[in-house]
Amino acid sequence: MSEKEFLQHIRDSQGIIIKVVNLYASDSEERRDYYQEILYQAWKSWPQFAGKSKFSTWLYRICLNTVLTSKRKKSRMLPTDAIGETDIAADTHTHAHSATLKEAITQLNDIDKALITLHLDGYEQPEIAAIMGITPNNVRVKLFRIKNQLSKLIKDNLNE
Amino acid sequence: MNNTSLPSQEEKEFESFLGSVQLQQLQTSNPLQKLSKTLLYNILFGGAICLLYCVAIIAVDALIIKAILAVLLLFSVWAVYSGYVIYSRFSPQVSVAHPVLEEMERHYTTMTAWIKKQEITGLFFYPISAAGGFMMGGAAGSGKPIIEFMSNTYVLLLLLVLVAILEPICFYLVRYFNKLLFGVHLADLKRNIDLLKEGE
Repeated sequence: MSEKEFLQHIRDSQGIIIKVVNLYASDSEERRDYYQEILYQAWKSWPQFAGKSKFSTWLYRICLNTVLTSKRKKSRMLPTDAIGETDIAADTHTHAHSATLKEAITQLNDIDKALITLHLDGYEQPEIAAIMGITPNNVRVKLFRIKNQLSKLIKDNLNE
Repeated sequence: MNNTSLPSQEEKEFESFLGSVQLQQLQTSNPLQKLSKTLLYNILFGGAICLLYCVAIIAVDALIIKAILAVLLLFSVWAVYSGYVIYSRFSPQVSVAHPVLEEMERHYTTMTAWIKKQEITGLFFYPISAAGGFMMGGAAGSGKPIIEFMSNTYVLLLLLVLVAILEPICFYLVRYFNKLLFGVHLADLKRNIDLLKEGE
């Protein structure tokens, strides 16, 4: 596959990269570092992509494996607007709800951010389990806890 | 993804990045890549030290010095070999075949193995190399044969004091710099591994 074709695949699924990077990067400099690292790892791993899974699932693995094993340059506290306007928005009805949800997600730990993002993107529990390397039952338990935590955070944020 | 509105700031940034990127020239900043390079330099440097010891063993006449140098050579060969074993297991590329948990564990165990190796090197290799250098440098500086130079009681005492001082200094310096460079990253990895394993 040529570079041009590879880049076209990346463009078609760029929302995944932008979403994952925005979950973990604190500014545009760090976002650019992550983009570069993810693209490098995706390009190097591309020959291994046999088409057995969806390209989006493959790219999600690259993004999460890269970001969660990269050395952070900055503090992990993110500004409220650090999460992109992507599929998370589809889960809410208004911009205000979306902003509140985004604010709550930024307060989660690294692992919970990944789990809830995969869930909000429509991945089933067995798929999330396969991507993260834990059992589907553990995914179910964790998602239940994360949702409770998110609703509490949203309530707290609205009361402030 | 399903963005129907105007492109966000992040989308513009990503588009600009893609427009300027040269895939063949991309470099990784993965911590394992940096460790891998450092380890390679250590192996090459260690190999050069081994060659120097070989030359010195051939060059000196005194049997006792030959024996000391042979011990130093064996130690250096062990250090180079164990470094090579770790180096051969290094894979700086992020694996898609591994799930997130497995990949984080691979990074964590590889990095801790590297750090342990560096600490052992700090504990033995540097002070022993310094002692070897002390013997050869001292003999060359005094203009005396090594055996005569080392037969002086004060010189022997000085050598022992030097090694005794260097041992903890080298060990703690290596530990300090490793912690400075990778401490936060390793703590992040460990915390995320524990978080993911929770409830398994």
